[in-house]
Amino acid sequence: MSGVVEPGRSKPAPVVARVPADPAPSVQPDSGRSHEASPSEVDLVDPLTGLGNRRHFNQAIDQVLASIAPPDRTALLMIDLDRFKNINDTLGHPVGDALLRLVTRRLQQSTRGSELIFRLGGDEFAVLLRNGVDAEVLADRLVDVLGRPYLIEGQVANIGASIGVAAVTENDATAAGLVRHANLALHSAKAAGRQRWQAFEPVMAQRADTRRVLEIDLRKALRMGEFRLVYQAQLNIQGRAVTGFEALLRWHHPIRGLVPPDSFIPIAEEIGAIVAIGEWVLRTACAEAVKWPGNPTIAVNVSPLQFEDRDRLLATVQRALSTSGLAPDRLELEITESSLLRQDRGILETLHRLRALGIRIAMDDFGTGYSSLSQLMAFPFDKIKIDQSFVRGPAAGPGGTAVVRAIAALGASLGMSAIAEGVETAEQALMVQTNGCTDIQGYLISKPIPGDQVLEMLRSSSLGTATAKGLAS
Amino acid sequence: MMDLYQLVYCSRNTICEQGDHLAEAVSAILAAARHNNRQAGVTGALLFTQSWFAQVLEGPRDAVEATFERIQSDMRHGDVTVLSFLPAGQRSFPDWSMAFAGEPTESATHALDLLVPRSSGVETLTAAGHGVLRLLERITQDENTRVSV
Repeated sequence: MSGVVEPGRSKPAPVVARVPADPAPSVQPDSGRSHEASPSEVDLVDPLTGLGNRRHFNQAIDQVLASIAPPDRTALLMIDLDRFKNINDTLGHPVGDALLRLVTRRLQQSTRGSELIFRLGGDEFAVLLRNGVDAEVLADRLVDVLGRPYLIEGQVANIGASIGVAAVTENDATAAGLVRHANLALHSAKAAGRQRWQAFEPVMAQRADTRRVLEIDLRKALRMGEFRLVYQAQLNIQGRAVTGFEALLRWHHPIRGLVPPDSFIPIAEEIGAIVAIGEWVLRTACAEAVKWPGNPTIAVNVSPLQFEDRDRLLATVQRALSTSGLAPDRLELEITESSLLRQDRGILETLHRLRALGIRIAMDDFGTGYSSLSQLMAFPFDKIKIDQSFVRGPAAGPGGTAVVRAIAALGASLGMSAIAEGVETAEQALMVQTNGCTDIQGYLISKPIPGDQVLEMLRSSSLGTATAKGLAS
Repeated sequence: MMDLYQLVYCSRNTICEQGDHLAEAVSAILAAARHNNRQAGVTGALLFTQSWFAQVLEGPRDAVEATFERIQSDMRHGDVTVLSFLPAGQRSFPDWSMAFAGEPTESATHALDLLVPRSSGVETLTAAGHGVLRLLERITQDENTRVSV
């Protein structure tokens, strides 16, 4: 969205009358700042649309809040255009600029005239309402009108608008609070699928605070040594023996206690911390596995984000192997379908280079995403991991069994082993075995356990007989 | 004429939802359209049912774009879908600043409801645009020759 307004490239629109002719004297551009150099109107106007710019917005919102009483008649709409970048990329910047002017026109025509309209930059707009204009009615109308098609230079442009609505409350009549609330509501509207409006609710602020604190803690968790690895055994059905383990990440927060992976890994992905965490996991898992007797494999999950810097990933894997002394064929990297979808060609090359180091590659969670046959054909995976939802839970049953059978058969014909995850009962073990799986993982074999217990498990020979009960001979 | 474009779009009729009188609202829409179109060199045709509007606008590209844009701030319709917007060799309604398909007959209503696209693929839209154009041409032709549909 940057580069839409390059000063001097677009012919500056004449300053729209609404800015200087605004009826409220308190928002006149140069009022109330007499001790400073008076900013000229040009500094407060977005040259592309003629609307007030972000600077004008900041001044206006302060002044409106200072001048109104009671404050609950004021509301702020934060507006983001959906798919605008796509229009800029496909139809070009001149069409993008023309589109922003049309959006401006529709904003002006959908309001009564007492509202203040600003372009904050890129495809972000804001509308400040006063005097009891119903913010929700306006938001409804703007989502409708801004989402209608645009005709520009012989082209049709279809975009949408997401809007966050926040009203000034008795408790919080600050500009910063109002802007924050409207932005949180906007974020929520986008998360709910865009092309809609959402009014601010206090729970959004609580959620954002919780999330922000979790983020801060997560950024330092690695440094503070709060992560641990646990290992879950993988049993080879034919050999009746544990032949490998999957390393699983656990975060022991000093106050929160054990934080579930589902609630911190997506955040670690989002803030990029997963790369450093993933490197720690690789190093730690290799260093641990080298101590285990009987040469079991160690499976490590690799985040899609780690594939984005392929040289760094390759160097990390090589260093983890050389530092620990682990034989490369004992290391198995688990990648998800979303990794493959993100970058297609580049990632296949990375996988081939990883394979050239001698390590094994497994396709994780197969069956839950796109589960594309072409992805399985694109790379000779060593192993397919069949998602646990087909073994237990709502997707299990006759349908789940059919999926397990199909994937295992596919794997067999492509020379890949098939491991079923989430096996908890003897019946489930029997089901996956009779339907062609070569390996199983789950609580029936073992729950995830710390590294020292892995040593004990491997030293005692009891495991094979204990779990073999569940398997047909 | 150079730069002649033809636009076909449909939209949901929200006049009744808003409790306004349909016939009065449509005659106001038509009067405004005819006035504006004559000045802009735009011709076209409008058909409506209880549920839908379908409209063809044709003329210089800039004028068609400006006319369409003006219609977009109108809250008497919603769910606007552009079916086709293409250069045209000639006008389909050269004599009409805005031909009006009269009180919609049952068969026209039925035909339009069938034509309004349920999916958004480009081919579907273009085909629907073509269908709407043919329907409007047929109805206005019939009106001209006083033959009822």
